[in-house]
Amino acid sequence: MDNRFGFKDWIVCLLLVAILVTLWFKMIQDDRQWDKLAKIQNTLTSQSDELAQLSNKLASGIKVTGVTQSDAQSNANTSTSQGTQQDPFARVRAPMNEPDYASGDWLVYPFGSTVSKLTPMISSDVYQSVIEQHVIEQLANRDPITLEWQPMLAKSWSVSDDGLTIVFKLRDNVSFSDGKPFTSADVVFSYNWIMNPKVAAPRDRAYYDKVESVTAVGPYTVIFKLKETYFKGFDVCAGITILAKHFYGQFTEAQFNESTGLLFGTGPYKLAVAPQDWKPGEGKIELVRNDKYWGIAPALDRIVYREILDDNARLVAFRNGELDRYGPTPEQYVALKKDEQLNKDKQLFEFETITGGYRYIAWNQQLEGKPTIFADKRVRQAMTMLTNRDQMARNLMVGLATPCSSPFHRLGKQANPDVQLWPYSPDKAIALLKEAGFEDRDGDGVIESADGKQFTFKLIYPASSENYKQMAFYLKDAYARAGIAMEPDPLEWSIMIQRINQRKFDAMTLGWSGTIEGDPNQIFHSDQVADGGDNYIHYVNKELDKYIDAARINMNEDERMKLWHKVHAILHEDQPYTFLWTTKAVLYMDNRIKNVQRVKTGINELEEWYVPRKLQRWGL
Amino acid sequence: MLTYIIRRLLLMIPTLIGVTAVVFFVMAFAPGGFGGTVLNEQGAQTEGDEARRIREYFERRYGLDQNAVVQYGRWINQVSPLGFLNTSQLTYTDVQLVEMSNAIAADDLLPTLGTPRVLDDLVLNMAKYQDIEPVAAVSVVRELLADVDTGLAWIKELSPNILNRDIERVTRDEVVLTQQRELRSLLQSQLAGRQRIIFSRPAIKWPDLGQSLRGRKVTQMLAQAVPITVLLNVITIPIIYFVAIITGIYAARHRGKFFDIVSGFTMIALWSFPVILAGVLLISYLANKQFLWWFPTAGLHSLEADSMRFLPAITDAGFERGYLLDAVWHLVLPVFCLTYGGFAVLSKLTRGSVLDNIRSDYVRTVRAKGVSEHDVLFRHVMRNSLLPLITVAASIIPALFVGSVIVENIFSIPGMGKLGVEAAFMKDRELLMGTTLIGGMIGLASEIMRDVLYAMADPRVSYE
Repeated sequence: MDNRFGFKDWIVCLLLVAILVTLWFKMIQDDRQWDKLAKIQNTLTSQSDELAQLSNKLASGIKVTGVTQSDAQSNANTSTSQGTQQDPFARVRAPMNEPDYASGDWLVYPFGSTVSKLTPMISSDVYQSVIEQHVIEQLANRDPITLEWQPMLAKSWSVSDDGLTIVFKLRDNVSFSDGKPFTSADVVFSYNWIMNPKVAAPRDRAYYDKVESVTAVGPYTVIFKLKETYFKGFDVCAGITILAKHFYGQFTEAQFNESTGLLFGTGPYKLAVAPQDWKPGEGKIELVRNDKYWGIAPALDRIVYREILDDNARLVAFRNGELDRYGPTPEQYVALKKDEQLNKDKQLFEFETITGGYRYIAWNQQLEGKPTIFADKRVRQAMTMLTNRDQMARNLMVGLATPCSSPFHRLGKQANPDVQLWPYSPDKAIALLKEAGFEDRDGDGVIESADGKQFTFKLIYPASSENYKQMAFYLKDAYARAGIAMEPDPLEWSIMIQRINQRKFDAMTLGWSGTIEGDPNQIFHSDQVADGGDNYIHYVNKELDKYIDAARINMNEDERMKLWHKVHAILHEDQPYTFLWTTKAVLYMDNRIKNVQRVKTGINELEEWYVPRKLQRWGL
Repeated sequence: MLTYIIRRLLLMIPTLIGVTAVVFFVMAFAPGGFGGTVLNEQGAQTEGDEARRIREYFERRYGLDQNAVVQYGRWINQVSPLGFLNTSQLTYTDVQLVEMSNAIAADDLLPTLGTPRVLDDLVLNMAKYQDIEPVAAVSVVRELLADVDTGLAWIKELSPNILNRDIERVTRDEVVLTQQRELRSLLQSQLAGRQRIIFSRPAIKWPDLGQSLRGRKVTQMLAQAVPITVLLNVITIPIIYFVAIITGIYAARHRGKFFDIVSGFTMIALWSFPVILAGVLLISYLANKQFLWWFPTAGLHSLEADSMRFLPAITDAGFERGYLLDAVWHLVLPVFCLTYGGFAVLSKLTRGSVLDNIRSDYVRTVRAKGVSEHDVLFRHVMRNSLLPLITVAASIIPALFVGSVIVENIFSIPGMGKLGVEAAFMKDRELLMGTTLIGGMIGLASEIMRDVLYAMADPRVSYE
């Protein structure tokens, strides 16, 4: 082959150079345009800032008149009615009196996994709801301190005596982030959209199955009718995801189902890009302050959710100040506690939330149609007394756990204050086991029943978690001391779920998440033993069923709490689960973020936070 | 040559079917099955009954409740350009739909059982499922709903795994109208999203990779991840090749000398250093405020990247790095992690084959002719030493698209590696099959390319 550099090669080279030069010029030209754009944008932002301040002033003005517009006319046939006395923005307004209060700056919030969908109702991403709550508001919210419902998009409501009819009066000054007003038509549209069988929202649809109908009476009144009396009926109605009719109505069901970023609402923040243009996988999701917000505008200009998957990278970025918040695992927390520099630069919060849930060991009482060892209440009580929960909470959970005695969180009203935890007492446990017929008859160190059946069982737990693994080995050790042979059996998550659904296990350990007022029906009612229910341990107690059934349809809170207390006492006596502990969360926050507080639901909302002017670092 | 390429291309089809079948059935028969993880997302707590209904909805929608062989057949039909239409691909004209709505409204029974929209939806699903005219479907639905027993029997046939609890819901109330209403809602939920291949309708269609179990189109997800991985590799691979070939030749020329030993030692040392550790160390030392804060910790762009000019510039506010430089700055650590381990193999390979050639007779002859040492090396020896490098290239090109899970995870880069591994972990059927298919296709295509390159590099190789 001839390798001379010929005429043809010259042409090719020249062409290439020409292309490169053109590209370069194109880039320079783009940059010039960019400069112009930046200038225009600057003026725009300053204008919108002024606008936001103006609307803030306006909103606080309207608020005053809002209070005087008393809602005393709520009609007859109602027992409980709440007015507009509470200001939903009292907590947002509180820090504004601080001398260093300033608006501006961004909050950079790390996500440990990627969010692939922001569209409400059809997204299954855990983090999606973290974002959604700042963009889409509800009719009413729980007050983070009192846990009572306080008005949000609805200014007042009334609930009929039987709890079947709930009438919401909506505010007339609320607008969506594009300036269009929010009316009762949007609430009705939201309900119809959820119930539309073509929308891929089976989760919400199943939840709103309890609602018979939603109708609008005039532009600012909505009536919810429920199918049956249920103590959480109000929660269901007040928590409906409000979809703007004029926005979501422009999409077909199929477009909605395949969409990724259709997140749009009345909230204090909105997506930085047009919802239709949002695409996952950019590594970050940005919310900007909604300039047309109807309430009190929050201090932070922008919230940036950054997806940093690697634990170590997340910690380093937090140290560097690239992130404003970091939630360590218990293991990391032990190491970080000793880190002086970090503790100096950052604020640390240890807090318990009422929705934090609890960890448990479930004892299966029936396997393949036959009762197991754990069918005997005394055995279950003994198992609990063999479990040194205090020590485990101290050592395994590095103090980030508090032993508990029931599914009801002790911070809530449902918990029975009279119930005392089962003590850690191996002696009593061994005595109880003996009473139930278990003792070491052949001297091999393992206890047997009278007919020679050895007390052995397998504990299943998720294999992916180091914490559960340590716990399993700890338990194995503790039970061995009483002559019980426990075998740890780690399972991959999907297999574990399968085994639980088929009810094929001896004992298992996991956690349940919590709600402010929990419904033990799904886990402990004997109805839920049959296919599909979550009573996978075959626990049946007719007396408990009776109390749960009664409590679920009792709309009087005080009476209902008394019933829950009874439920608590029975669960404590029966020990269907060994309730281990409720967990505390740990959170580090950057020092420049002020007014971060602990509340009953965890940490206060970021709408209440601010950064003093001289500490601001982003978006200047 | 052309016939050879065409033959190879055609042979790809059975190979691909084999590859996808293996992956599909291994996953399908693994404990937990398809969708096990996606549909039971960890930490999500829903009430038992609801959780089951949700799972069933998705199972029907994606056909996860069917036999694995049927599922695979369905998938093949979906990706193949020649195949049969699916119920979801059936469309009706507006006239047909209006006719249907009128027929429903004119019926004596149906309008009492639900709102017009609900009924429209039900009848339309029935029409699609049975592939009949929407108007004809009205009477089919009516017949099923009119007699509760027939309706229940039909539903039991439709989904044999249906729970008795659901059936009982229909018969719980004595009133026939209530029963029919419950039956309607049961039928609705059983038909919703149900798909079926219609064998009577063969068609030539666009291949469709389907929808991920998390509700996005697989093609969309791939379209997003592939450019990122390609970008990383387009930078990485030339660097690896350039450094490895140069050091390889140099080491061969100075065999046994200082450079040969040192470069060999360093490269093997680098090759044996685990990427996962290197990544963590790099982030901890080179991206950490406490040590050297030279590089960013994660991602491909800074947070402010959107508001940057494109090119670096010096403005009143000082030096601005610009979008381009910002991206390069973010790429330094990941590219380093991807390259450092790759030098050893290629460099040793080059060194070996150059050594082989440099001692051969033709080189002696060329030297004897008086050709300069430079020309000997780059004109004669190089060309002959290229063959083994081409072989290796064929295995590197698929990696271009498959990506590196470890590096992508450490530096939070949303590339193909992460997508593929996530798909496997989540047992996300369509996504997993999509990545397998694309990976397999690129792998096989690069094999063909390798053979063509052989022929081009070495005139002795011919496929005629």
